[in-house]
Amino acid sequence: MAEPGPASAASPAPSVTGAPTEPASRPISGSSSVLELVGVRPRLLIGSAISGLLVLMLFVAWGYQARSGLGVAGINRPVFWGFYIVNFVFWIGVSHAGTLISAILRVTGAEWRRPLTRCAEAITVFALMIGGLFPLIHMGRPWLFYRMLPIYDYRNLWPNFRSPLQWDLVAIFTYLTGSMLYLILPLIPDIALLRDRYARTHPLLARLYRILALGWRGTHHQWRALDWGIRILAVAIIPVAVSVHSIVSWDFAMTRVPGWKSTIFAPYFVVGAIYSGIAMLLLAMALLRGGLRLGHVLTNAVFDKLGLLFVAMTLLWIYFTFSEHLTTWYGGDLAEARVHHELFHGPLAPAFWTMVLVNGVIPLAVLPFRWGRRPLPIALVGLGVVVGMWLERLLIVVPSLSVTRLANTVGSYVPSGVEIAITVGAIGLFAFLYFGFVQLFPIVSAWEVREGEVEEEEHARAVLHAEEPA
Amino acid sequence: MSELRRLHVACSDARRARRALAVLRAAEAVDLEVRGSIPLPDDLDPDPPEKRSRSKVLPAAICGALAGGFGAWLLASQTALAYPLSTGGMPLIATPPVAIVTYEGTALGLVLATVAAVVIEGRLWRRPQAAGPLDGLLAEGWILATAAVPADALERVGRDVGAVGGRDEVRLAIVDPPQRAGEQAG
Repeated sequence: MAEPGPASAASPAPSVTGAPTEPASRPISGSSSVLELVGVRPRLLIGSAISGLLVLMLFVAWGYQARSGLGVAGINRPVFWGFYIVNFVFWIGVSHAGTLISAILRVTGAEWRRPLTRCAEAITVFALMIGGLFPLIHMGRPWLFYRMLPIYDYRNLWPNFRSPLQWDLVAIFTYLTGSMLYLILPLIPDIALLRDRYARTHPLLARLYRILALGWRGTHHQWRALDWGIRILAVAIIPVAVSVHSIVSWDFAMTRVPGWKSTIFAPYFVVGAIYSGIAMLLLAMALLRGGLRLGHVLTNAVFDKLGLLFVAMTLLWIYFTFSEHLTTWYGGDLAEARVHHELFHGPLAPAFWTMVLVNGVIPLAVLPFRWGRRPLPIALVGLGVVVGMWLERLLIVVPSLSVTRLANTVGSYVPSGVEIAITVGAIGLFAFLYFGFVQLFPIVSAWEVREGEVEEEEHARAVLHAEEPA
Repeated sequence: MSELRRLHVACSDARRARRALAVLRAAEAVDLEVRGSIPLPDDLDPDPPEKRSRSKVLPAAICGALAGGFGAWLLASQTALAYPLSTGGMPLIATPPVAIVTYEGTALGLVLATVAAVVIEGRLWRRPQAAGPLDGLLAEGWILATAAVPADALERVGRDVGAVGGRDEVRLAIVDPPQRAGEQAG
């Protein structure tokens, strides 16, 4: 294409202009201001620096464990699954925030989803990355991981597909691939806007965005293909998300360990996962709203609607938790009774009753009221649920292993400093990735928000026309 | 043989874009392209309905799902036969685990094929073109139309398109293309 021509003599109409890219006097829409959020900001930079230090701690602790052996972790006979597996289950659960919630809202055509989908999808991808890291950490010798991959090697062995742990690998790989693509696909039009926006002012950034935007131009052809792609992925990702946490639950339920052998573990885990996912999403949304002044996009109405979903999940979680404990308690199995005693009256009782308080009592006391679904209270409830769900994972993993069917294998578990450092470092890694993403890409989908605004305008115009006298 | 000039038109909303497109169509402008920062209404598609091709993303996704499922089934059921164990020809892995792996493989195949189809159908693999003179307005929600217009009709087309709206509603820019009308038609 040749250089833009001047407002030549052949340009007759008064609106023909030679300086066409000067800003329009029309008010900038909400979506445009969303794009302006991209870039380095002092608050985000401070957040990145602090979380970066935690990431450093994570890798130093992991390196120390890899060098010294798994003995530096607190896991020991009979409790061979500790913080690492707790974190694995917790982060995989949190990952249900995004893709599942965003996909369900997309498929059902919920208009209020528009500002929160990307925020949720990013949580999914980063939480899954971290969740997937923990089996590697738990292995002790992560360089032998390749033996789980279907690669024909000198041992003449293929992976053992009978093991739920192998199903985990397959399911998490599918979910991570699907979630990443589900995040990236709707991001392309926004990256293209950034490419155009930075073309003159930031050539280096524009080059990065030019690569990431592929050949996006925003033509009919491309929008149609993208629309099909997003719709298909949204439908496909829902059963995948459900299957992932079901399979994680089968890591436990396929055994004969007291407290784990349960037929409702899969739906119980899925419900818990969605519950913790929504909690994390609400927390992230409240922080973004405050930190980036996104009140005009992440409005009270969005919090209110997601809050109602949160109430429903609270009730479901209470129902499943009660059912799970009631049936095992009523069964009267001696080993399971010992697990219950540990939970209700033993050393883990404070954690159990804290979980009941923050996951059940407080949400039900706050969320049914409209004031309770405003950003600050709901974010605090969300924080409580995130902590409560982590405790729930701990209470599933540890007591069942410490109280086995054999009296001579009763033991206890105390996490080591390395495990605690890695656990805290994982939170840092999540925050670090999220802060990085927010600085590079619009955390609110600009085109989806704009599309919603246009639909609203057109609807309002149609209503006005309809009301006009003939 | 009249020289073609590339005309870029930016409209602040779909209604004005529709009218501008009608002007361009009436002027028999060629190489029409309409772009937007949000999905565009069907009546802004520069192709007439009879020339619009159906999207191939869904059939591609179904094919990908079938291929993925078959590959995963092969992996789970057949690799066990390669184990250095004497099983008397009996399968090592029962149907339920094979079903789980097949299910995940189906989903993976579907996802990968869908994205591949979007990339191919949307021609996203092509090297992006240089930004046009009005591309900056896309981020503000404007709709851009580009067309090649014969130079001798440019004055009339420019006036008609300009009449679609005021300065805050319609913008125009003209770029000199190297090709001529005969080449364009070819």
